[in-house]
Amino acid sequence: MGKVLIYGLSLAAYRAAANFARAGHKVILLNRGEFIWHKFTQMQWQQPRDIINGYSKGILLNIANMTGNIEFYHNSELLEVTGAPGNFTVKFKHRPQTVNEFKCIGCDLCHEKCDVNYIPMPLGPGMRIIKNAEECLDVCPVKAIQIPKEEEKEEKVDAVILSPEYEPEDIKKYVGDRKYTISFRDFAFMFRGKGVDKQFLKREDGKTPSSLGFFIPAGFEGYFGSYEEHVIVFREALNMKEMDPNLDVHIFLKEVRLYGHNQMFLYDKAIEKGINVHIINDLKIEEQDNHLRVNDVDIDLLVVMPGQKIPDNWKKLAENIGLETEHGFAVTKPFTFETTKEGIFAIGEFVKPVGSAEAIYHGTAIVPQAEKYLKPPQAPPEPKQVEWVRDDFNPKVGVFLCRCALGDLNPKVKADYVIEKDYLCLHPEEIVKEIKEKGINRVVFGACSPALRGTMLEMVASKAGIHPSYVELVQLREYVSRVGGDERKATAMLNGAVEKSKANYFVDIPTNAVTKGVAIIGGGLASIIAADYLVDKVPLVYIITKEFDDPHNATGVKENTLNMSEDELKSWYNSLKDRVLKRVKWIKEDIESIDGYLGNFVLKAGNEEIKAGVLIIATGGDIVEGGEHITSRMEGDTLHSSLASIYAKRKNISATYDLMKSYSLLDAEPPDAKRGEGEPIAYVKPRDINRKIAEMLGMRLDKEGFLFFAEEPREWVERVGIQFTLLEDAFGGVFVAGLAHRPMSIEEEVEEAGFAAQSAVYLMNDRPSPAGKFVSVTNPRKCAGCGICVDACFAGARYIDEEDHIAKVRTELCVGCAACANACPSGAAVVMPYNPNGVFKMLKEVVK
Amino acid sequence: MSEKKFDPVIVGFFCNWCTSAAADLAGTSRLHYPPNIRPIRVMCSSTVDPVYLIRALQEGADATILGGCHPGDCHYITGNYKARRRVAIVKTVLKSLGFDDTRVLLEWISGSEGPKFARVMNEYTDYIKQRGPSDFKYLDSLGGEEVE
Repeated sequence: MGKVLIYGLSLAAYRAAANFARAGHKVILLNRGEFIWHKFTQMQWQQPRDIINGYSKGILLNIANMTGNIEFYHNSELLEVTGAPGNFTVKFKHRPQTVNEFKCIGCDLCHEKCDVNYIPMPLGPGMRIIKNAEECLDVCPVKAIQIPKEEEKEEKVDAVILSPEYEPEDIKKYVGDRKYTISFRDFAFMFRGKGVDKQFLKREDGKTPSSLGFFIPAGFEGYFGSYEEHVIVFREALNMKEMDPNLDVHIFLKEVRLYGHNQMFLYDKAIEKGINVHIINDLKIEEQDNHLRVNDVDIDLLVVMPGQKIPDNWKKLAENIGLETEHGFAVTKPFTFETTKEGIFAIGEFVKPVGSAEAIYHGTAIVPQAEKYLKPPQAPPEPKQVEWVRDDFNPKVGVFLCRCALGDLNPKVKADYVIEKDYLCLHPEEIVKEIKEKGINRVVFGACSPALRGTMLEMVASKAGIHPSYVELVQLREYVSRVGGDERKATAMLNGAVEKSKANYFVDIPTNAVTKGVAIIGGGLASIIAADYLVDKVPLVYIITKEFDDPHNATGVKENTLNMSEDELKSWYNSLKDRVLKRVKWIKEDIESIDGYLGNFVLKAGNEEIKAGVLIIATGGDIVEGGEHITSRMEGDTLHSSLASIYAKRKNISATYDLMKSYSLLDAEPPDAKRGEGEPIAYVKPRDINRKIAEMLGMRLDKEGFLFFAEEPREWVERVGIQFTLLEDAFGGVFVAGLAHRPMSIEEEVEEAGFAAQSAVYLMNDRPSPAGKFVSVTNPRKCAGCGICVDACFAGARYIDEEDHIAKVRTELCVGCAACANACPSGAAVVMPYNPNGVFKMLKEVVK
Repeated sequence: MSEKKFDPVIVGFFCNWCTSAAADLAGTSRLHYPPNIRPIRVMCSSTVDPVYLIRALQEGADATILGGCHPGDCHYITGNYKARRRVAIVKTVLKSLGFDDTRVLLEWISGSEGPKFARVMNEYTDYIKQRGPSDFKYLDSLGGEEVE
């Protein structure tokens, strides 16, 4: 088992911690703030309204709990790193939280007796900082209060990963002290928690603005930023227009950094909805009575989305450890996240300005890269087989009530047994004992939220042999006692849960049986890199392609971004290719057909039939050169690769450019060129086979022939989706990497291939159903085999069995959304534990 | 009419990922709202069969709320759009049968919008209190006989 130290808690770091822990390595996480997300990451500065933040934290804590592999240190600072890879000695200081985040149950007893600063947070008890912790250690029933004593600590680790959080620029840099200007964060805070509503849009002086301007300083001197700022501003402008169609909305910018068709749709939509986009060279602001005049437009409130600033602690960190930096960012070696110091890696916003999607890629692709310095991970322990109590027809309901949740309420519950305890979560053994002694086979907990102890209580019940489908949870605390609920409400909700639990029946949740093999389709550079990561970890790796790309294709243009000569690049690529091809199975055919689903794909190529659990599509692309124009508009056919600008720069071609509407961040440094129009200078042409693959897998292609994938959101949906879940589950076991996806540089290809490979390794583990206990089932007596549920299921979990012509469920794919249950005309599709019978019985009690 | 103050019962079906989380946040922040709301956690707003909404009214609820994620934010990609369509149909059905279609409310409340959750619950309960008991209850008071 390896051990890594992660410093900082940016989005990339949090993903890295989660991924290392799941891969079976120990993680020491040095959080710089008092609690997780105390120091804001890029995402939290830019999207402070989104629930994503809360969920990300939930995922991290959940993985920490389940694997036991993450050690948190708060208020910490990295002092020294000595030694060599595989044997670093790190020295850091830290100060414990006054309230241990893991132990706190949110009972709020400390609020009465101590001096508490309470910060509400979604999904969890909220954060508490206690000023006089020494005096109230005994107040806490779960002993979560600690004395915040600073101490130094030394640890041995194999690798060090640096990912400190960034800071935004001061907007005064661009707008000075002018009135009626506001940073994007403060603007977003107007609506935070309250919803986007006209009544909350107010200026400092209390006036409701009738015209709103957004300004993104991309392209101005000293600005660092990614596409993320642009995506967010365009989205927010559209939100504002939707909120109030009469609002006059303007966006001022020098460059439109929206990359790829699926970000560009935001630009088109903005124009369509009547948002005025002004391309400006300089920001000219005049203060007039009661409003601003910005580049000859009257604006009541100007919202500035600042870029990234290099914080002082980065400089200190780089000096301490002896890292090379460029513009304040850590310099990494070609093709890796490794800094100039061996064994020390830098990811996320510490390397370059990144969007949230790239940060997630970094946090995943770091695992295979760092693993070369880590000892092999421990195999996860075999899950214990539980003997479930199984009785669908003779319910014997036990209601466990938690005093902490009840407060002063005394509900009158109708059940076989009603057991009351001060703190249920402190007495798991007593609950198990009561269940076994009394022969209870349905359990209703009247306790707190599943984000707190609810899930834990479910696990306690399963220790007594009560299957999750027999357990009901009533959130007495958050839904009743804390919000001014009365006894009538508590009684009704508990009785409803009792009635519902009686109607629940046993549904087993099988684990996901995955074929232990990965098929890589295509011969792009990403294909070789992904295979290189995979060969050690997956028993069977196939590459299906007739031939491999030349390495220069991968760079987008013949000149690459890495200052490597063409010979150097070729020899690097060829040695890598030789090494990989010795160990994978290379099928020298084009792909003919793909069937199956996540975990069980069947592919045909030539005479071969291959079974694989996960697919990686890396078909590469061809490079077309010529012309003198750096980038093109959407109406023109080609979104060019950013590398064209670099190419022009190196070759000293004088080129023209117009709006920076292209694919990649490297356009941040346009060559010495003037604006104009013309033929594209160089671009990537995707392979024709993409079309065939898209048809076989039901994926989408853009009009140039690139396959759609995660970070270019369709109407923003997937974007939120990918941040909610840990990405791997999100794509049904199909990953697109490299030029099959969009034009990109070698570094970006390496990141994407690493992400795909690491995700594939994770999916190779047998996992339980992603929905937990919420699993869809078919009642064979009622099913007519019409197939409506198959169309309704977006997860692809339902199919019509060819033998008996009724709908069956692939439980391992089911996410428990109940779309099937709603679509089914004959009531045969049911999602446990929401069987209609139980819901109707519950409703009868709930309305009392 | 009874002299007692009308104390309605409002059944809320709240999706696990957004509105239930908002209700949680309202709980941990101790934002009070009337006890007339009976929250039920469902996985997705599309889990809620139109029949559940009508059944709740039939059983004696004075109103129902369906809470889901904002459009585009659905954890199950398009669940909330399905819910929106279903609610539109339920409202049409109620209206054409002569019932009050404002007894079914659809709201988008995301997980970080605890204050919004409390606000919506307060406003809707006030509204229902003004509106009086549901028409279904009037039918019940006729004695539960089938009317031709």
